[in-house]
Amino acid sequence: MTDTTFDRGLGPREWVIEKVFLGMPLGAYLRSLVTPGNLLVALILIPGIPAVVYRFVYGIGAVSNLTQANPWGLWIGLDVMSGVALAAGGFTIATLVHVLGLRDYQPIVRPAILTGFLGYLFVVIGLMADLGRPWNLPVPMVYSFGTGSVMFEVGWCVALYLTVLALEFSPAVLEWLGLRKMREWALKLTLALTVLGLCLSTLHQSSLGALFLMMPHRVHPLWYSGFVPIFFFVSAIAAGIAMVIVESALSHRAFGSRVAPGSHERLDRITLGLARAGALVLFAYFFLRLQGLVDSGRFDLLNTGYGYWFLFELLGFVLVPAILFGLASRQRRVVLARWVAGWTVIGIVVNRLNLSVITFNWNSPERYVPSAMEVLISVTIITLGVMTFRWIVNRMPVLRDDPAFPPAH
Amino acid sequence: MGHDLLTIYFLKGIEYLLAVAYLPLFVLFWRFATPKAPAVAVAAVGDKAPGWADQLADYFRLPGDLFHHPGHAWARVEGDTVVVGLNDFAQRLVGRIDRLRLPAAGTELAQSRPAFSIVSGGRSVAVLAPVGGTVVEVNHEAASDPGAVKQSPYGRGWLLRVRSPQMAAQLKALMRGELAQRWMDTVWEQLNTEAAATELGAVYQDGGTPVDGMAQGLSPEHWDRVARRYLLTEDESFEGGSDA
Amino acid sequence: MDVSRRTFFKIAGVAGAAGIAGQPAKAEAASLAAGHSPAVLVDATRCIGCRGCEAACAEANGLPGPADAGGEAVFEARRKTSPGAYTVVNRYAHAQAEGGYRFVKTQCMHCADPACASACLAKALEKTAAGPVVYHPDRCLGCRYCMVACQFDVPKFEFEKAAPFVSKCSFCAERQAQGQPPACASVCPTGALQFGQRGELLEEARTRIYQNPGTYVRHIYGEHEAGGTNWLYISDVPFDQLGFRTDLGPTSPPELTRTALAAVPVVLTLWPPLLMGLYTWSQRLKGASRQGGQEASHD
Repeated sequence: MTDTTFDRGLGPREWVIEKVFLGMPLGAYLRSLVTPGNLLVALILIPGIPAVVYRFVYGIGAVSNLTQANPWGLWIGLDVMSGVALAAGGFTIATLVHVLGLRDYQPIVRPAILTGFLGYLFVVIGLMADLGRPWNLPVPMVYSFGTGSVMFEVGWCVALYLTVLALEFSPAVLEWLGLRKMREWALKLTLALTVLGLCLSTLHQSSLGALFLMMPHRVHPLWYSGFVPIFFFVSAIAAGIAMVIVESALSHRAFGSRVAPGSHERLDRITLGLARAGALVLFAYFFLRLQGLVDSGRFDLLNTGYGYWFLFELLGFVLVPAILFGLASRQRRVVLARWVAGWTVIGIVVNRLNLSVITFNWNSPERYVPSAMEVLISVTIITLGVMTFRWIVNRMPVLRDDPAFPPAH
Repeated sequence: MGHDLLTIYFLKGIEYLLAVAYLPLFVLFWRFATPKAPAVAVAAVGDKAPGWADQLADYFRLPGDLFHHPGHAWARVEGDTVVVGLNDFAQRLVGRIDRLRLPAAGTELAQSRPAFSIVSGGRSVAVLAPVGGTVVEVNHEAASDPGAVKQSPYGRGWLLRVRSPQMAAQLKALMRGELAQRWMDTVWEQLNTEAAATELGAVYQDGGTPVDGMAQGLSPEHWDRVARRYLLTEDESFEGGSDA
Repeated sequence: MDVSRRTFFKIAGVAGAAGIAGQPAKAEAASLAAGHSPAVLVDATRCIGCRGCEAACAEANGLPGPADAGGEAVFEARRKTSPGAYTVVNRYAHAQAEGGYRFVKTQCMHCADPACASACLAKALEKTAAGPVVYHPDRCLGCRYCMVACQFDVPKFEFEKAAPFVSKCSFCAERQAQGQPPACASVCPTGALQFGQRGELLEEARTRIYQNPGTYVRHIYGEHEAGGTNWLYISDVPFDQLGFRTDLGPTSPPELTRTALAAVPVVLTLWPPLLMGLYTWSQRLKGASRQGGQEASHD
């Protein structure tokens, strides 16, 4: 006895209309796509997609300002490094709910996992644009293992974690498809996947930082530290928390019709709880970075241009959000928490860019600035990620439960 | 990089001091960031008066400035009269509306007695009056154009204007704000429970466009009975009114 | 609690594999470290800038000939190696030098513990047992981590191509396998490039420095930089005036990542029991509160 929607007498055409076209016939569905938001998306994709094609036809040099002196740039700094940090909400919230048993955060687990999954997926897609020979991706996965390389570990961890996230999100997809038995089976994996996900996330979040360990000759001494893997991991937790606050606020506004009733109030409580967690993590992270500064012993560099920028990042993007998150949690100010979360997200991106682009080769005569095409391609990839998020949320039980499937607990 | 033994004494000393100072500071910061009393749910319903656009976006949110009757009619005070209409949940419950049978001006209504009815597919379902009084105005456009009720149940889909001498007392019996939202949550849960028992669930995941005709989904043959159960008019009918 | 057996083996398998990974090729490193690796001693006082090494390298590797072969104008600009040129000779003006100029040949340093080979996730750049650091184009993903890791800025990338490769000097590994010196060293007319075993060349360099007091700078560049390289330089002009980076420490770059890599199996081993402990504890707390609630409601 199967229970797919085909059993309800839906032929393939009706299934497509119901599942894909939001219950509208094709004509009506296409008409419904004409919105101001989609116009903006079109404005990005119309030059963006050809730019991506151009990059693959004519090579990296044709579209970017990357040179022999600066082989890494915006795509690594933004799409890969920042993208992975901001996708950290998946393992953070999953751990809160499934390992620590904090059921209050159950409503945001699925959106967080989806954000994580799509975040990592589009990091990999962004990486394809940056790699010179992306078709060789199977090489280190299948037969030539550079096991001494931190990059090797990053690659494997990301690949495994992407699988874990896909499996963690699969119950939502299976509910959408109405595959009850498979969904039961997928749910049983949740705890194991969460534990494995946290292991893998610890490893690759920190390893992205470890990539810079071999580069004391390129990264500015105020940012270079033996502890940079730990910095990356802890700041990733803060980034994940902040990103979940931002994403849930935006989702509830954009997809208000799809959320379960009463969830707006629940989200306020959740947001404040996350703000408190974010405050504590950022506070600890601030002291970690201070320790890193002391360990470097380079107080003399604080009185330079880069020194001021370092202090601005440390105070403005770490300590200030920590205090403001604490304030928002203490005074139960949800709007403040959301703004601080947005600022924290920016701060994490700034930190990743500082290491990979802004202070990279800081004392070399040849410096790098991204080209317009690089920016366009990055924005295109991010836009595609957001659109995929929207497509999935509009169809699958992410923001609210499917009444046919009782909640998993 | 300055890690000779002499420099290290100094640096390590600072590191230890920093770590020790951090511990009490962390405790203090934890206390700073913790709210005092257990968090109370913030009732955002009455905080801002949602515009008509919000009603479609906020599916089961009830406009904060309206009074709601358990029979799913709403009332809004305008001066010394009360505007009455059908709420969003009810119109989605019924689904296709052919027309509405509204009482003529001058009719006397009693609170929680049938006031008007919805006609669909040859069957009619009565709706209870949220307040009693004299009908002073009827929205005939809405009566003959059900689209108004379906698209804008709180706006141009209003149905009746009633002059109610005991307005204040009667409004006290109605729900608004947080209480109304909690009531709507219970109704929704009830519907969910019923739906889970049937195969209605799959219909909800068609992409989240608010589902029309939920009563039909629950029971194609006896949708009107389902609707009457929710509208609290199981044994009631509305005989008056014209088919205009 | 629902950790299936299959999941346990999955976790254990990954942890085990990660534990095995990351062990360096200790045996090879030991013999190379003992001084038995092929190396070249570059004496900047002997180089006359004939650029015969550039021509020989281009011919041996099938590259287009060196730019403007023969003319002096080529020295006007500082050149770097590139996808079409594995080695270049640059000219540096210096008052103390005979003739007013010193010439310095640049190419891959073939480090004892190379950053590039350690960085490469696909072993496209590989430190061979024989000594040279060679490139396997078929394995390369073009990620360019080798380029940012190399402290000497050696690997170059074909940015202008749609299917780009990394390029650098291979120390003529194939010629060496047949017992021949690298092409550049074999044509050097003045003996500025001396090919031999690293240990012996270090002795030779020290000898030259001792026997010419006041001439040479008391430093063999490459002896300790970046953990030691196999292209060694001695000069009568301070190295920072000859375009060398003098801020490189003696720690090899891979050494800097050793701890981070060692942490991988530790995390995979410790996190699961830690997390399952937290899980069990949180379940117990919830059970207790539920019980407490039930008891309270019975009052």
